[in-house]
Amino acid sequence: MIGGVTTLASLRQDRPVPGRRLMSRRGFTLLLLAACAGAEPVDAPNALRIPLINDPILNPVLAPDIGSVLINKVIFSALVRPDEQLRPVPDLATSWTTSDDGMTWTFLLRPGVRWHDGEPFTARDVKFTFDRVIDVASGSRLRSDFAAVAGIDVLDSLTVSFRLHAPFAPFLALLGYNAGILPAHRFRNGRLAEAIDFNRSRPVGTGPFRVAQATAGSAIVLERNPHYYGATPALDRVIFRIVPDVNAQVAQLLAGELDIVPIEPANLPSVERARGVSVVRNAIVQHVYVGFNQTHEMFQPALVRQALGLAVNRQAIIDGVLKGAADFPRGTIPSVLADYFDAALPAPAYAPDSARVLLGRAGWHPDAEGRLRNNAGRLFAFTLLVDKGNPTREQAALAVQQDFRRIGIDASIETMEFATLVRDRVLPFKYDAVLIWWMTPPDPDQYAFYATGQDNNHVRYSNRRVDSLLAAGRATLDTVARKRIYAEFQRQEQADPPVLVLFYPREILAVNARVRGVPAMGLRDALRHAEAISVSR
Amino acid sequence: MIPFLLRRAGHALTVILVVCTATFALVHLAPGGPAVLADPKLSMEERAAIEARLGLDRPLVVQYGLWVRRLARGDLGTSFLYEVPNSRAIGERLPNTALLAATALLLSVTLAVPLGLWCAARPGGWIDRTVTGLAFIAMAVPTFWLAIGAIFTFAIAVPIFPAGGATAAGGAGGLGDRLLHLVMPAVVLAAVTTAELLRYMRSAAQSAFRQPFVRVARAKGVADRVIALRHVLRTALIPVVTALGIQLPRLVGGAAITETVFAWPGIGRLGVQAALGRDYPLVMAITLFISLAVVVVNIVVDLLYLWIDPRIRLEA
Repeated sequence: MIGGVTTLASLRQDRPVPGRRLMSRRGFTLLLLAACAGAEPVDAPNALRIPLINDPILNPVLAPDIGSVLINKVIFSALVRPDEQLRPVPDLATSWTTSDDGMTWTFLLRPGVRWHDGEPFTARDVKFTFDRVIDVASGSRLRSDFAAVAGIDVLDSLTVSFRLHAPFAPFLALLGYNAGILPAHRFRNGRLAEAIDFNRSRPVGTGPFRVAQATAGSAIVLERNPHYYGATPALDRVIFRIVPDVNAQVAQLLAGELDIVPIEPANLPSVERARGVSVVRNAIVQHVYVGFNQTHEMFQPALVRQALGLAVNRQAIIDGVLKGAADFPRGTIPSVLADYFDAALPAPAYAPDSARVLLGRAGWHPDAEGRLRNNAGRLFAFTLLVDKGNPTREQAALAVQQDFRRIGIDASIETMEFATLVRDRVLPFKYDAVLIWWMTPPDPDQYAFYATGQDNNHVRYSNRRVDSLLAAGRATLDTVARKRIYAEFQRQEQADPPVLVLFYPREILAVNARVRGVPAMGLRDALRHAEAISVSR
Repeated sequence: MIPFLLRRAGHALTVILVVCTATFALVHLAPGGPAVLADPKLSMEERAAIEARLGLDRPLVVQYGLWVRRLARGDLGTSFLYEVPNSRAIGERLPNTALLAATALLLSVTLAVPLGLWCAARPGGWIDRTVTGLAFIAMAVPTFWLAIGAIFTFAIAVPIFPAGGATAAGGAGGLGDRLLHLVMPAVVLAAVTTAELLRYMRSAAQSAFRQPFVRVARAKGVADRVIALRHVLRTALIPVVTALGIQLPRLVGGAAITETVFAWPGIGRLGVQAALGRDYPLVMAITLFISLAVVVVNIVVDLLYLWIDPRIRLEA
């Protein structure tokens, strides 16, 4: 499919100017309109149009997928939101304090905020939301983010405090991530999933835009919220169109029917030469890596994982596969977290010869055909899993395979649907190696991924020193002390790498040139500032 | 007539039951699981809670029994992906699918029947060769290619039609807007159906032209036009109606690729997304809906035979 688009796109060079294009379509529409009485004009010039691949669930506590997350950021505001440095700044909360023991967080709420239906927003709504968030039975998808929360107390109508089980530094970042606040008065009982009309078509939030119309499978039209407490939104409308196929999304962008489309590097040729379309590459909080199942003896020695890291030519993958839309990695904390990423650390080298030396020390020596074997005669061979259908990751897996082959390691690639890969292979530890990624809130906390025995530690990494650093990192509220802890964590990672980090990908957005004011951050964070986005006519 | 319909209804029920049971087994045997559980970030506790809420923690046989019991009460269950009753998910998309399928079908029949008859009447002529050639191309070209090609040609290079959707984004639209959005998906969807119907029509009409009654009519001096329209057309329609009976459910349930590329909010796309997301209840509901469509269309086709050819009797 990709090939088809690229080839066809090259035919597109002499397409007419947008003005003329619009005219000809409008002319045709008018012809038809003349024949059909009662039709209305359909143009919405001051609107921003963004694609989603599927119908979203318009409830931030239940939302399971990226599409739902995107639209919910526009409809629902949260206590805080990230600024362009990804630091939390006031939103529904105007200020906050932490108790000396770090166990209680108290938030002063913004006065005079109204829900989309005109009702006043109060501390009761915050309590209602977080009571649901921490209740597994409610269908909450945010439970693990807020497992540290023990209870929520309403102090007065505009003051709310959170009691925690233990001091928890990522708390603010998480509040500004996916935790949009729900209106208590809209739910008769606590069972969020039963509020079908709310979740599908008539949600009520406090964000800059509110739902005007939702058509299943088609589009969700948001209009400017007249009660919005912040700067008056520049747009009249934000329209989320359901377009399941990425190539069709690109086609609609080229036809002027969409304004912002997240694309893969493989789609770049079809948009880069297009008139009226600009491409931005924004850093996001994500690391893509090859995880080695450390329940396998072969991957247990740190020496082996170090050697595998030296064997991979990351720059070649970033240039060749990602077309430059990625940052060169150090450890598992991506560079966009500038407060914590330790740029002073040496970048991982591409040194296949050193890799061979290290593997030799770990007991792996080349046989007559150059393939690595251990003393028992066993080949260094394993299967590398990668999810099917994403050309970037499939090609990255191929590059990794070739780099490993160059030092005598035989990795065979197996592709499967992402859901199958996760459920049937990664979760039950039925795999050798997997090319996968973590997308995280803007906080360096990686306790759940790399501390011993955690549910999300799918590689079964275990390092005592790292365990205590990660535990200290999430419990330390002082930024300076915290920075030191994560600097030490990143040094430990170089000695004993939990995973082989390949790159920090950038999100590539193809944007209609008429769009202005999109903050230079990942789309999911940028949409938290939807009121600032505008379009020129 | 009544006993025939009763008997056919009995057959239909058996068919639907078998199809649903087989689908239930297959969809649960398929590797992977519901998309809601595919998030590697879920904790064990959350995973268990979701499985309990969706009823996935119970043995398969029990799940099947519950499904049948709910169905008997007219409840198609709730979608995992969309958290809405499946009847609503299907109902919301049914008008779009019906519109697209009916337009494509109308287009196919109005093109294929007269063209097929013409080609059979003058086999080997330039019209016959052109039309047959085009039909082969239409059948051979993959639908997604045709669809993307149509978008790049008629929405980007020569922008006449919108690139996708059933209405303009955000507009109440109106009839003109709907029609404009309908053209490309309907034509792409009709391309294959037209080609197949045309080949059926052509060969059926050709063999009808060789029938003794055509020779008798010719000998009596009946005009060619009358022979073709009165005698040949009616005889040739039987296989065409059969082919239609096969095409119609395919149009209703299987327009997934066309619907996906043109972002057309229909049932085919809903079905594909349900299958990919392992949305078991929605897959079952759509299977039920499509198998119902198949058996109903088959019964209608059988009744149509009666009307077209009085020699056919119901006892068969």
